[in-house]
Amino acid sequence: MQKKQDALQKIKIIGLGGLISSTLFFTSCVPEVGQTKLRKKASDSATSNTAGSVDATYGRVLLDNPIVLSGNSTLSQTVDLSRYLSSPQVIVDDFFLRAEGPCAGLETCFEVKATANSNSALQSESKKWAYVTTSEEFTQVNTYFHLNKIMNQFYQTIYGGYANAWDFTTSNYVTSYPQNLVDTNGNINFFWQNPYQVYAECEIAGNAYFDASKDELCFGKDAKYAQVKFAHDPTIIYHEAGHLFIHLAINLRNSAASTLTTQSLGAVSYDEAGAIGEGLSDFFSYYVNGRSHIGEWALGRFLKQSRPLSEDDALHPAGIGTDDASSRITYPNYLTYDPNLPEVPYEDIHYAGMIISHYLVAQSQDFENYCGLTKAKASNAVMNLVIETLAELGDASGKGTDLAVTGGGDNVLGRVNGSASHAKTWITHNNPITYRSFVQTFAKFVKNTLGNSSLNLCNGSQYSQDRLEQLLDRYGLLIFRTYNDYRNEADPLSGSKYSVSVNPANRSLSTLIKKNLIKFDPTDGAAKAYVIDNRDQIGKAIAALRTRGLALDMSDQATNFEYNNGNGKISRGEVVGLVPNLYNDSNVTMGGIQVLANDFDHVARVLDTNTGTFKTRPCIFSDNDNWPTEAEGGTYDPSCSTATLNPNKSANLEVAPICLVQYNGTSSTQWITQKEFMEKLAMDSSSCLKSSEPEACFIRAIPGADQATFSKIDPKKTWSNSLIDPQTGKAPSFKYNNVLFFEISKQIPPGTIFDCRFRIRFTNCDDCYHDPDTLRKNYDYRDNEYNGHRPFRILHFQFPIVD
Amino acid sequence: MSSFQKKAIFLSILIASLVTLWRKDENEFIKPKNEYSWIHYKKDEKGKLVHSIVDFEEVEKLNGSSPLSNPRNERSPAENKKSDKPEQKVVFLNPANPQSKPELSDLNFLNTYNPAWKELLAKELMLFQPESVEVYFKPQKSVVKILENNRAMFLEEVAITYKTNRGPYSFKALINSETGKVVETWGKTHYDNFSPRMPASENKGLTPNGTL
Repeated sequence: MQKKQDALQKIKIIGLGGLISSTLFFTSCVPEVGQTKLRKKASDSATSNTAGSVDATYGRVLLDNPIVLSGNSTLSQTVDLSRYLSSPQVIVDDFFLRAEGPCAGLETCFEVKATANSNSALQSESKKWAYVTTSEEFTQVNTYFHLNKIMNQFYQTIYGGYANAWDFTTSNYVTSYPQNLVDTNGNINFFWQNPYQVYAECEIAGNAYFDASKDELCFGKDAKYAQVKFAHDPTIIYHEAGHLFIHLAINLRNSAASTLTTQSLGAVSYDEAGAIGEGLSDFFSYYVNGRSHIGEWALGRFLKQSRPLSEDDALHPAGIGTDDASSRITYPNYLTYDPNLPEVPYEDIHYAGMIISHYLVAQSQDFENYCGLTKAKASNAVMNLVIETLAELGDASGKGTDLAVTGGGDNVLGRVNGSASHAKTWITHNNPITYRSFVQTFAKFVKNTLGNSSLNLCNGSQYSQDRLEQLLDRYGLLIFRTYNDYRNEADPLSGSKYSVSVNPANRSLSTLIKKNLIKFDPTDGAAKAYVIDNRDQIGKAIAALRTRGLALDMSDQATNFEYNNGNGKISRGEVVGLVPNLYNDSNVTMGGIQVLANDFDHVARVLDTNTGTFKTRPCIFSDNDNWPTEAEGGTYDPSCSTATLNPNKSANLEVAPICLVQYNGTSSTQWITQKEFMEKLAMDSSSCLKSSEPEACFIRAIPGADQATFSKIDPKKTWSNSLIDPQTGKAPSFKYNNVLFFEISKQIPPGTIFDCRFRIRFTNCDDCYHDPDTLRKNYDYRDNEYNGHRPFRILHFQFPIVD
Repeated sequence: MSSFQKKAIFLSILIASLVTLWRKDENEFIKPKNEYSWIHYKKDEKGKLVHSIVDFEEVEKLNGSSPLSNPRNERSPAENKKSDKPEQKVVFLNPANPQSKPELSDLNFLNTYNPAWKELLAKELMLFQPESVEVYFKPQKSVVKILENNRAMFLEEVAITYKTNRGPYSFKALINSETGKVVETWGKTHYDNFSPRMPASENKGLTPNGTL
């Protein structure tokens, strides 16, 4: 016991010490946040960076990127970087460029190599780490220095956050930090299973990556100027490391629960979770260097792709700033805003993430101003809240906190993400991380920590709920009505587990829209959806998706898309892509549009009084699509009014694929399930697309390619019209995230008509998240409802199958 | 602090410590055994799958100077050693009840263990891929996933890396031990594309050829 107490005491000391040391660092080394003028180095003379010029364990690095260090925004790609070197810095007391723990008990956290071909981490027999700046060795040392710096800072934040959250065995507030996060040796129980391999001179042009499965970080070079190395820009190192730390944070509870699989922030090429991931990674740069801009050298100088982190940054055009309450970059209006080319909309997660990065920097600055925190403590506090938020939202154990009653079972609702049995479906499809869920959870932790005077985290003051909500509103992010404090366990009628309401008077720039205002393009002659069925495009798309771990669960029907005829219709045997042509019929912008084609609870087992047997019939949702009629086979069975939790159609007979079949019986025309149609045709399930899935016998949404996402839709426009380039008048082509992919069985009789029920919602939607049931008092829907129809607008595609 | 409170704290910390130690042991139990090498598949000029066993280091060199043009260790692959049982100790995956470790004989399995699952997986992974794409995968551990109503599935955890002309793409996956089909994936490579922004009209996306 004493050892455990000692360890916890040690953690508290380390956490506090970390804050103190990082405070010292911040006050001595970095320019002010919001500083837009580039700082020029005192001396521009070149430094001879050779082994003989430093003591053992030391080396010189670039403390910031060359643009900032030189003060020259037009620095040449051939610049002599030795002019901007630091004084000798402690690198590592080792013969190899590798960082020691504590990372989940590993002896080595990461090691830096030139490329994947390098035999080992960079070695120095003298332990001197000074190399000429044009060398591969220098790039490795620079990478190591900054990676080690951010890792140590992140660890201090985790230790400090954990120590704030847990007082030995008692939690100080409802925290997502698991109690068993830190072991008796002070090791954090991370998903950090192997030493990360870091390639500072990665042989990939125009790219950098983070790989969670092979535990790798790769820093490439500019595609045009190979001497411009991304690892020469510390802000890029912080950004890529940010992806790693986000991965650790979102799996914080999963690691503590010893789950096998991990969760990620973002599922497809564009979605809001991915955008938030990019924004958070940008914030990691501010968190380390306190500067509100990223990538001046690696991204900005030659690619015109650098990104600001504050409205005060000079890259923003006039009209954007922090002085006026309404001049921030608001959600969702700025989701496609690129400050480098502001007049042309651009759908990309890096730019869509700027709203969250700007908000977090602003929140950090407000903690400084209001609570009197140092810049380091303020950004550290924000990072701690980000970790809490990600740990709760990424929890696949269904709990979100150790204080939850249950994580749920197969048919038992947990506190978060449905239940432990089905959490992944919620995280990727049914209730993924969006701007709404992220800021709602983040705000809850602000309220429960800096807003809790008993914890004294705001320097003797209390960060008020109104202040929090007013800042969120300036970013258009006050799009939730309650803080969803106890998530699925919350009960409006409970005296204890209730959700705190947002003060509606604080909602000025944030808008909530009713779901029925998203619809198909009502323009005369406009298509409901676009079809892609030519062999070449489909083949390339599916092959590319599969290399990304998506669309791997397909039938054996087509081996080379040989049934794809490219006639622009849906034909037997094809794999087709569908893009819904959606329209915003409201007067404000919609953000985070998601179209789901995965199975959901929309059928009911009903006793057929004529035959005495049970039949599966489509539910009539009178509050939604009101389809089909009872005469057409629909039912108002009571089970249709609420959704069950298990999304597995083979285990839950109320769950079915989205596409139903029109069947012309002897007495009437009815809409029936695919399985029933199979039986009507006297087919055996072995003839289905997948014999194990008779429920999706004829049309099957391909898992992993069964949702489409769109950044935003402007008022009274379609998505394509919202993204038209005003200079060319052209709309962008579709990316994989815009397209839903389906397999069409070659067994379907030609002329058969299908009707597919797509579930659609968007992030700033009011009734997609707030349960309008009077007893629920605008509380968030419980997670089981996201397996059904109520939080969604259901729109139909009805089409015949041609030959 | 009362004596009772002190005893309660003592007991709680003791339990927490024991749980931590127990979990540590459990973690050690589930750490993958590196019994397997990476298995490499590519298509020959006739589109036929050819494979070899390669060392881990070679997979690490995917960005390098194509060490795969002359794969080493051209021997009979390990997967030809047929067995009707998982080749290493199984790990139970039971999200609803993580602590349970039932007897295999008490479970109703929806599939069987197929010793040829690796060949089937390779075929699945290379399906639809052009000749320029190669795949590597490495079995990590055998898993029994417990489903509702005492049902269960034999699965294999594997690490997968595609070598493409756009760079390596990696992820982990659970594979059906009978069919070689991919059941679930996670931990995908995250690229930050640092290239000049192209005009929207020049983006190489998907272009529809019909409407509904």
